[in-house]
This record gives sequence, structure tokens and C-alpha cells, in this order.
Amino acid sequence: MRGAWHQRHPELGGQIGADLRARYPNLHLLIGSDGSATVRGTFPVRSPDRRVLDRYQVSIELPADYPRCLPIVREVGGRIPWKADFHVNADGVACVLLPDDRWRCFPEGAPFVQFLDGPVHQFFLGQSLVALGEDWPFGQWSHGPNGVNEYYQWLLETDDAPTIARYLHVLAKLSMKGHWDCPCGSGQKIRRCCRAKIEALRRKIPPVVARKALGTLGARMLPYIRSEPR
Amino acid sequence: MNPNDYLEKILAQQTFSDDDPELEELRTIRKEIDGLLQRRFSKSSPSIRWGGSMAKGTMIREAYDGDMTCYFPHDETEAGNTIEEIYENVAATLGERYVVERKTSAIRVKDPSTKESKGFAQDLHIDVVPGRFTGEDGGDVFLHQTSGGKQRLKTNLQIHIDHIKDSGVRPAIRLMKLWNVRNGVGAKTFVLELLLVKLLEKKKSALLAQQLEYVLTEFRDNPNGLAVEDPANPGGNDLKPILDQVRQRLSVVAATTLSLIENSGWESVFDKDDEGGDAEDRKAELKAATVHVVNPTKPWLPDA
Repeated sequence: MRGAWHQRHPELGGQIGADLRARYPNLHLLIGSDGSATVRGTFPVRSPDRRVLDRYQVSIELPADYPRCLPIVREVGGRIPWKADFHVNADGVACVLLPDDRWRCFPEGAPFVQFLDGPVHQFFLGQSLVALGEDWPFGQWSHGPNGVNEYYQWLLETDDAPTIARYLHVLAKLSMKGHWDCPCGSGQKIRRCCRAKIEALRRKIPPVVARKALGTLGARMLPYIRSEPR
Repeated sequence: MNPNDYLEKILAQQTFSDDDPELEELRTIRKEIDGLLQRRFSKSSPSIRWGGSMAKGTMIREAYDGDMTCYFPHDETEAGNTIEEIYENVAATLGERYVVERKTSAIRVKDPSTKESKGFAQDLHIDVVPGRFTGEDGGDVFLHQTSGGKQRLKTNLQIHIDHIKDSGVRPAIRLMKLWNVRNGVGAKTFVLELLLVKLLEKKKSALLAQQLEYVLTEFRDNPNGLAVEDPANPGGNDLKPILDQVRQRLSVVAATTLSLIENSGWESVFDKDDEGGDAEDRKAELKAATVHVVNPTKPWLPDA
């Protein structure tokens, strides 16, 4: 990869700057002398009629390989504890969403403000409620591999570990063959069974994400995975 | 609402009342620190007083810090022979009760009791600045610097306080401090204050909105021409490197702010706050906001 994203795609930086000015006037895209790109300022939690209900000082890093990689969100005002219960890592990085779920709320190529409007706003809205003693308004995934497992149980509508493993294994391949056994466990070939469902899943979960999920789930999936789908 | 009325309203929202709980807490911690240092250095009776925005009258609610001096008499060596030793001994004394963070000349104190519950020591919004008077008149002091070009800095707190207090532009300073925080500019407060005093020297009688627009225009159009000097040591302390770190940011953010003012007025810069109610009202407002979310996402954490 040559240079950071804003050097390769200056129009993308321009678009982010313009969108921030229009929607988030207290957030600014700043390019450092070292080439780093960070959105800094104050993030507002708004009511439906656009009143500011709360504010968080944030620093959102857009890594060199953005938009392939997700932005890295930090609350820098010292309001949110750096604790797992608050979905903030020990290094202050907030985990506003499960990366596997990005297709639903911030797919690669979507405007950056969609990330702010969706996962970031919901994360800080949740933090404001949790600070007042309420539960997370939209629920929360368990930490670590358990959360990934819960996510694929929800996405694939099954809690059967071998089925989840087979699906992930098929999704992890760069291409899919119709003569492979269907991961649903029906005993049929993919072409005669869940082809449409798997093709739809492949549009949501790219191979790299499925491979990472398999890696995260690790040992609990290994017994169910063959070296190659059949 | 006209721009000046709006800005005055923002200033009022950012002003602490004298019995504000945050201010009370600051005073309580100051008393604790005062006692700790006076007991430890009882022979030399250091001069402990408020400096910074508390003394200058430029505090804002959104980002407030209390700066405390801890200046030792010029001929006292109880806290150390050199100002570096003084700095380290004051830090060590504070470290017996607090988590301390060594800054350039100050020592920030943090609450160790929150380490377990929060994962970090909560900032107590107090910086202690150790130093030693240069003579008997109790004016000029030497401060130790942990970074930067020089290890020793000569300054004078009272000159700094008077420079800002007598500037006639404290409302503009407070609003620009709020602008600095809200927009993540990261300019050092004392440098921003000095910039404002200098830029508004001939604009003291202008309306608040005009003062701010003038300052922002200078930031946008002339970032490399911005320069300040330390009123307590004009030739001695080079503030250029500190200013260099934020020139670009000042210019970029000022350009955005001016464009906002032109297109949508001042309310788009500092926004409309929800002014209302107690915790229950706030909770109800926040809950109502969740109802309108159409594509909810859940937070996660990679490490269990």
C-alpha cells in the first residue's frame, strides 16, 4: 500500500471534511505532520429534534488503510472508565460495534458520517444512560470470543456450533463451489440447498472477516472444521 | 436572539456559582494538598495559592483546572537545593496521597481510589506548580521544566494574573477557551490567553461577537504570523515552539467556525444545549432518543 488513505484518495478527505462541517461542526479532520488522520473535537448526543443532550470529547483515528479498516474511537475527556463493562479497552479504545456487524451499519465505502450517526451516536447515547444507572439501550455483545459466537448465532439463526463452524469455513473461502456440502447440515450440495442464503452472507461477511472470526472462536470451532469443504 | 446576547448566555452557562459542588470539591482538594505540603515542608512555609484561571477569572465549566503554586523562599533548602530537587520532592510528597503526572512545570494530581472502578486514576483538575522565589520580594520565581529547551524558567505569577485580569477581554478569553475545548484544538490555555490579549489590544471596546470574529479571522488567515511573549519574562521564554504545535489546527478550525457563523450564525458554533432538568428528565430524554434509532448496534469488546 502506498501512503495513507488521504494521500491516495484526497477526495475522500475532502468529503469527510465537508460532511463534518455540515453535520458535526465541532468535529474536525486533522492531518498530522506524520501523515496520521484524526477527527477531533466534541461529539454531541442529540435528541430527535437535534438538541444536545450530552457531549463527549473524542479522538477518532482513521488508520492508514481506512476505509477498509474501521475508525478507532477514543473518549478523551476522562468521563468513561477504561473498563470492559463500559466497552472500553485498557488502552482507552472504545469498541463501538462488533467489526463483523459493520455490513449492517457502516459497510466499507459508506460515508464516514454514517459511522458517526450510527454506531458512535448509539455508543455514546448508551454511555449516557449507563452513567445514569440504566442498561445498555440496544443490548451488548459479550466480551471476546463469546460475543463473536453470539453474533454468528444471531446472524445464522442457529446455536449449533458445528453448523456455525461450517458456515464460517465456507465464507472464509475466496470463492464458493456449488458441489460442496451445504453448511446447513442437510446433506445436500450447496447448489441444491442454501446457495442464495450463502451468496447473501458472502456479501455481508467477506472472507477476511470470516477467517478472523474462525481465528477468534479458535478451539471451540476446530473440531467441526475440515481442511477443505466437500 | 442577537449574537451578543447569545454569547453572553453561553458565558453564563459556563460560569460556576460560588457554591457550585465542583468548585467546592476543588477547594476541598486544595485544602488537602495545602495541608500535605505545609506539613512536609513546615520549616520553609511555601507560598501556596491559586494561580491559573481561578486567579485570573477565566474559568469555564466545560474544562476547568485549578493551578496551585507551591513556591519556596529563595534561601530555603528544605525542599531541595536545586529547583529540580524541589520539583521532585513536591512530586514525591504529593505521590504519597495521589497519583501524580509530571507535566512540563506542573504536577497533576489524580485520585488513586478510582483505579479499580474506572481503570484509571480520575483527574482531580488540580495542577501543583513548584518553584522558588528568585529574591525576597516574593515576585519572580524559577520553575523547573521537565521538557523543552531550558530546564529553568523564570516567571512571575502576579504579572500573569494582572496581565489577564486587566486585559479587559476576559469574556472573549473564556469563550475562546470553550471554542478550543469544544473543537479539540488543543492549544495550551495560557498561550491562547496571551494571544487573545495581544490580538484584542485595540479591539477592547468592540462587541463580543466582533472580537471573536476578528480573532478567528487572524487565526484563519495569518497562522504563521501569530506570536506571543511571556509578559513576565519577555525576552527569556520562547513560546514559539508551543504555538508552532497548533498553528495549523487553529487555522483549520477557525476557517470552519467562520464559515459556520456566516452561514448559520453563532448558535451553530456553540450549539443549543439542553438546559433542562434533573437526572430523571435527562434519563427520559435519552430514552426517548433511543426509540428513534432505526438500525441499532451493540457494543462489544475484543478482550474478555
